[in-house]
Amino acid sequence: MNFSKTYDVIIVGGGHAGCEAALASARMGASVLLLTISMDKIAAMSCNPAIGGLAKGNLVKDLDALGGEMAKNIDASCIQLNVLNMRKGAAAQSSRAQADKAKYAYRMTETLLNQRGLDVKQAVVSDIITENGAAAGVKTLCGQTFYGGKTIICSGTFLKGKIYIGASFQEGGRAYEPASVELSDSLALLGFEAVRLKTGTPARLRADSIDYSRLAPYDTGGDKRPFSFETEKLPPLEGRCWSAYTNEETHRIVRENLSRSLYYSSADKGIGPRYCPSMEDKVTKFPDRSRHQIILEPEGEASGEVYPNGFSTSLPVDVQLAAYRTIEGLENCRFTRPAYAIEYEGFQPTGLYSSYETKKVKGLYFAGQINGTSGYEEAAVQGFMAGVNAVLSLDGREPFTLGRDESYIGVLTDDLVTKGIDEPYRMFTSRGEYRLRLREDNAEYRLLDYGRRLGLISEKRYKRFSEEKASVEKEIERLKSVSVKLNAGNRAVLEKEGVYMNRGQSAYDFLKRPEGSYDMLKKMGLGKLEGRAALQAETMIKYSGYIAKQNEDVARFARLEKRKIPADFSYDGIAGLRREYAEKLEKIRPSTLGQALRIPGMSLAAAAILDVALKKAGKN
Amino acid sequence: MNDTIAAPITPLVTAPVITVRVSGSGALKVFSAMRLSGGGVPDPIPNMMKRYIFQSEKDGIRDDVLAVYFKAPHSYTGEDVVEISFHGNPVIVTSALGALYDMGIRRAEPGEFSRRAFLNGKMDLTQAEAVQELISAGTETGARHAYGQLDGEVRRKLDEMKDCLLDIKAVIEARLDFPDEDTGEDDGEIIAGVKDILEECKSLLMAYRCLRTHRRGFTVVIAGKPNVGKSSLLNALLREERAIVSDVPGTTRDYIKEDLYLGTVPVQIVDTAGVRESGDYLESEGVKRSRSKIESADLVLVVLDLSGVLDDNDARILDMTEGCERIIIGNKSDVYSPSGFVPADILVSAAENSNIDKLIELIKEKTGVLDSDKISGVVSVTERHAHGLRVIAGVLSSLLEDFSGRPLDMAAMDIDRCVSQFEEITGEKYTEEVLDRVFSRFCIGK
Repeated sequence: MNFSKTYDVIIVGGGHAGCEAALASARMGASVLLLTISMDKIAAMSCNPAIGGLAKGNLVKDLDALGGEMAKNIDASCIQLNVLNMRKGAAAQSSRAQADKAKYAYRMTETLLNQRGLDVKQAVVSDIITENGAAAGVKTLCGQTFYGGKTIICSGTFLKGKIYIGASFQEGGRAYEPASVELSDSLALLGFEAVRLKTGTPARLRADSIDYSRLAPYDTGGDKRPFSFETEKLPPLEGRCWSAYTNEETHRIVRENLSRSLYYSSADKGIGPRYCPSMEDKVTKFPDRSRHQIILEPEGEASGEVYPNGFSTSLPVDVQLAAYRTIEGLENCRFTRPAYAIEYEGFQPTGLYSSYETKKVKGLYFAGQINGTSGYEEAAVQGFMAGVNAVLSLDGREPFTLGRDESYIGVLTDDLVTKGIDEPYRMFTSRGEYRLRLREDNAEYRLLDYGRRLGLISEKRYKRFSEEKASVEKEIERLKSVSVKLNAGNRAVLEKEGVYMNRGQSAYDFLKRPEGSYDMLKKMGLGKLEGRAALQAETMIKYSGYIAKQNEDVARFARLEKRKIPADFSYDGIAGLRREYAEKLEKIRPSTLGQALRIPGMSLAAAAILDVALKKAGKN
Repeated sequence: MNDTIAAPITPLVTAPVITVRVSGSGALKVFSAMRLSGGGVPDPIPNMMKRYIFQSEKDGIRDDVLAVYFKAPHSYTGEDVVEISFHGNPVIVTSALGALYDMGIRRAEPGEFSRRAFLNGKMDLTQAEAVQELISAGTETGARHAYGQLDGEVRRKLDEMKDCLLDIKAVIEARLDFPDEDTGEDDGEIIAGVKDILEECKSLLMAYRCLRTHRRGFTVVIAGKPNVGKSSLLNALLREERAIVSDVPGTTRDYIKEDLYLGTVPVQIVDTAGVRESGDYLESEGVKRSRSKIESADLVLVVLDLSGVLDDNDARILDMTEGCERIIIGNKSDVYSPSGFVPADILVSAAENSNIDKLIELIKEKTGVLDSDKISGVVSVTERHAHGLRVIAGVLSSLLEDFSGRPLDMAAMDIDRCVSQFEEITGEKYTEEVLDRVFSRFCIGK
């Protein structure tokens, strides 16, 4: 059965990457088809019921400033929300929300179904069709064929997924859902070499089997700011998390039963993430720790299930239950679903261009866990970038990429395509060398122009932002000429705030003091802005010195970053370039000299030789 | 890439001739420090060697030199090049290089001339394998190699500092990226670590300074109001150390210079004019000159007269020398033996020659002449290492001023700057290492 309609873009997978890819490409005017194994599992949160967290919150906000959907979707479905690290500085602050999983998935599904230009269908894709080495469409297990110029694979954990509980395993992409086996074979035929990765998830507990009277509420505190810059009102934030601890008895049970985990005791394991260890790993690698914290997170507002964050395991269910029940407050807990480990296929992302197009097959894009990343947010931004680039390439336009100094999305992409992965890749703020620029608060300042040029930002929003930005800039100038005088009224305010000054100073300099805040200026009648604009002015002034220094670093590397390497540049026969370097360059095909220099094992000398060769090639 | 660079291309040791190469678009600037030996302004003609007088205003050095100009692209590097051959005295050449750096010319990195030659297509590309080695020598591999060559003791210290710095970075990054995890709240450990690194930096820099002193000699300035016994102190020092090498009369009425050796190190002692002016004349020429001598000194001997009362003039000199390496000397101890508080480091009588030997020991100690142990390990510390250590010391000192007061993301950037200096010193990248430390130290992951 062939569908007569030819799509511009076909997306395989309806997870967080697939949803953003579908919406971005459809909103840019393409005709788009999204295929998912189950219509009921679109935008499913397979693991923890939360969006955001350190650096991940920044990804979501950046995605919002570019015109993505994730921020709005979590704003509409969150049951709790906090800005983390309130006291560690603006660049250390990230938002995290507890989601109502069902609402989150429902709203996203509805958004897809109501998007003009987007078809959503349930099907298991078995084959990638190529013509002259370029993607041309897909076939499904039930014999359908869909034609389309660009194909984006967002397979999550489904490619040859294997689920491990205790002594057995079964094929599956998520507990009791079918794995995608044929697609994996089809990709292997196209020459893609898979790497096996691993992740895990804890059991789910019945909310009514937990003794909350024996647990302490877990509250990180922090402001409650929506993820999307367009969200004006959040739902009631009544979700509550609880803190529990494992103990020596828990560890003993886990330790004594290690051999009963097929996965843990097998020699040839997929690569798991160090930042998300199973309980087996925790008790083995940190034997001196007498307890590990477990956060109990509700899976939704009306959900009867609770997610015990920090206790993933692949032990047999009876051992799991015994171990969980050693925890104070969980003595009588009952499982709704057991914990499991899952092994799945991904591909080294060094096989991609920065546009997320594969080097092997033109018009074929990969996004999300297939590229060796972990996390809903990491997946979402990749889906978005792949969707945008698929559409841009339809008209032969330049790919859209972001710099490492512009967004964590740029850092993520550059790390993936330049260095590859040696464990599931998660974003950390420490991966960004220009952290002070990549703050949550200034996402629109960095990225809204791009989103607008892509046609994904409404004029109404752009106008609102332009006005906000102008008011902030004006206020910053004004604060330079206003002074904080030490009159009786101001003294009283400062004393109450615990600020000691021996002479007056400009409001601008006052804000540069570590303890000075815009809020205090307002109390002294010196501040004119409210809310987000006020915070922006304060942050820009407070960090001006450090950011100026960071900008110098950016400028220092700008020459290298601006030096483009043509896509068809030949590394053969460059005199003096050692073969090992030529091979690395040939494999990665960096788009700039800066990226070339970041390839692991690359030397400055080789980059200098490449520089000369580029100059010569430019002249010819 | 096209700034102007300079470096000796022959070893910087006592030899018949030391040649310095200057390369870059501003190479011709160096002729501003030269005049033709027959008098007259230089008008260099490419490829023609001429005799010149090289003169540096600041240090007052002067040398007959031979210099030749190679016009771009017909030079070794393909840029404008000037090569100057000095008489083979490292002290003179070091000062001359200082004069070039003052003109905005940068010190060439190892291998940088060859790198430029290569980049400008001056070298046969078929030799490029060899060239690449050359280039590497000037870049990170070079730094790694140089690091590997460091003396055991220095290397061990640098490794410890690097280790401590990366641990601090790991703790800070863990606190930033994993706020839910138990990464500790106590800043004490971080602060203690920062202090340790800072102390190590300072001690390496001190040793480096001693080494430089040994090579270049140093300047001791005697300062004090009139009639406190500055001249007799100078004479006493000269009497004690018989090895007077020259007797250069003061070129102005304002100060007198004497050269002598302390051990094997050349020392120039400058006796400033008494800071006799008071009140209205504070900014007069004499004081200005004394002040500039004091500022450029390696060590200032501040002389106080114990027999008189400390007055504003003394206070002024003490203020002026506050930030300097200094020894405060209470003179005329024969006339007045003090009881109670005297702000002096040592009491002497220049007239009676008493305690002068102790003073010389103190001078040696302050300038590092005494401590040859310190020097032995430092020979391999280059100016580049010292530069990195100075940057690190600067950043860490300001970080210590209010570590707990500033937001952690700012502190993280300060630590990053130190780490990148270390990367330049050792030629390695530590990005992944920090994450490794985070994961091995803290049980991350809920």
